[in-house]
Amino acid sequence: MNALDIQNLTKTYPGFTLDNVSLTIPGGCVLGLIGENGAGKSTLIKSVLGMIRPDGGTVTILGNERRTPLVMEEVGVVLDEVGIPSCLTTAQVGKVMAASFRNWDQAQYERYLKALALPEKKEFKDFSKGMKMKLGIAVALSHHARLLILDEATSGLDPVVRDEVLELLRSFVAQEDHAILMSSHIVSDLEKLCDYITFVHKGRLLLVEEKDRLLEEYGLFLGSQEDVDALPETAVRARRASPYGAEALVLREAMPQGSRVTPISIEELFVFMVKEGK
Amino acid sequence: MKGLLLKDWYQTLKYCRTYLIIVLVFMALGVFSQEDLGFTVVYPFLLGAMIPVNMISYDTASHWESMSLTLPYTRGQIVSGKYVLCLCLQGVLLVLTALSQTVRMCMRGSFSPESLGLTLLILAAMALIVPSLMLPVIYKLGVEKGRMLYLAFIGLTFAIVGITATNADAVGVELRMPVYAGVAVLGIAAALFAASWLLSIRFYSKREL
Repeated sequence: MNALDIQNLTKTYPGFTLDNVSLTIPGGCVLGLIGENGAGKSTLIKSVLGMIRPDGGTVTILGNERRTPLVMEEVGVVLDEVGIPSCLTTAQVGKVMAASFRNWDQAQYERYLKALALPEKKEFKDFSKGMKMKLGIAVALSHHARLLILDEATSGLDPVVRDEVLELLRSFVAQEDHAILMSSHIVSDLEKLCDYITFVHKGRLLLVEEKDRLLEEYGLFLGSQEDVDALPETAVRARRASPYGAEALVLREAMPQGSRVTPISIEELFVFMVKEGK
Repeated sequence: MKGLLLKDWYQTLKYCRTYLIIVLVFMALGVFSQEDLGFTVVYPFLLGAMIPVNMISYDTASHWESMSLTLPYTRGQIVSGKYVLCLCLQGVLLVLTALSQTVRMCMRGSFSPESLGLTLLILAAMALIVPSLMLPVIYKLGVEKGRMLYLAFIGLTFAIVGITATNADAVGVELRMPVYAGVAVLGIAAALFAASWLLSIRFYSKREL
């Protein structure tokens, strides 16, 4: 069973349309949503969570089309603002969640609090951004969720905290039936964690692909403008002038034998596709 | 819904302590004052009606509004949490008022079950009517417009008390209506509260966050 299945999801606002988006996350996989501000990542996540009403399409979470309390028992969510009331201490948050989730695991929650060095008596409003996010993640991981949905959960965190968070997420997804949908501006985080990468641009999906396959398929060709112009059209996905000549995003298998193609990072690939893509 | 109520209880203890102190002071004034007690009896219920509104306001500011939709609750349960909170708070206030007014009547040697009952019926009705009118507006239009409506209702409430009362007795005013009319008023208020509850759920179900 797929953890998440989105088909033809459409949502229109004045001046913006999330346009006919379809994607699937199999169990045991991590899918990263990459997109610039206003690309539609949060609209997509809000549609999945039922915070906004899509104009069309379907969202199936863990085999259920309806977002019922029973389904949400198995979904852990961390939003960019976390959303925990500012006067609550971590101990009070634990009590509120214990009264909310049937599967709440207080022992596990306390283990996370300890591991993440979150104080029990301090109020949420006195936490740093990193601590707030860590508490959000501790809550999301303490009710035996099978699907995690994270919207910009690593943004604004320092590298050490981000590394801690990524480690927690790796442990979560180590279990076969666990899956993660994660959006972030920090492409390197997604590159470290994700099995699948999705590029979102102006409300549309530019691509949905396995990360390793993307890195295998695409490469960067560097040369003079003439060298780039001479490349076969079938190989070139995008091109741009560089201070040292020109560079092209190319499909490795369509390149002439012996061509010098360097590896490309997911971040470079995304920027290329969005800015220079055709 | 237990988690939602617990969260609101923690917030009430943190942010509405002043309200709780004011309520206790007003109850004490209600016992010892020889003056017209209309305001001291009515005002705690107006404060009580304000607490769920404040909770919605804090929910918006802390982004709990969004987070609560990621928890295992329906939108109906999220709205119902505020109505249940309102009933609990106003219920406690009504019990405290019954106690303070009984003590006051006994101290003055003028205890009348009928007069006390009628007073409590009217107060209970008022305790339901104010939030009934405020909460759907808040769920439809947001907290700020709801607050403005609340202020309008404070004025309206005192106008109604002024019209239905003449001179001082147990609650500082003598209610002109018979007890059965008080029961009818409470019945109407309860029906309004139920309709308001359903309407708020309907508004919130359509709201996009």
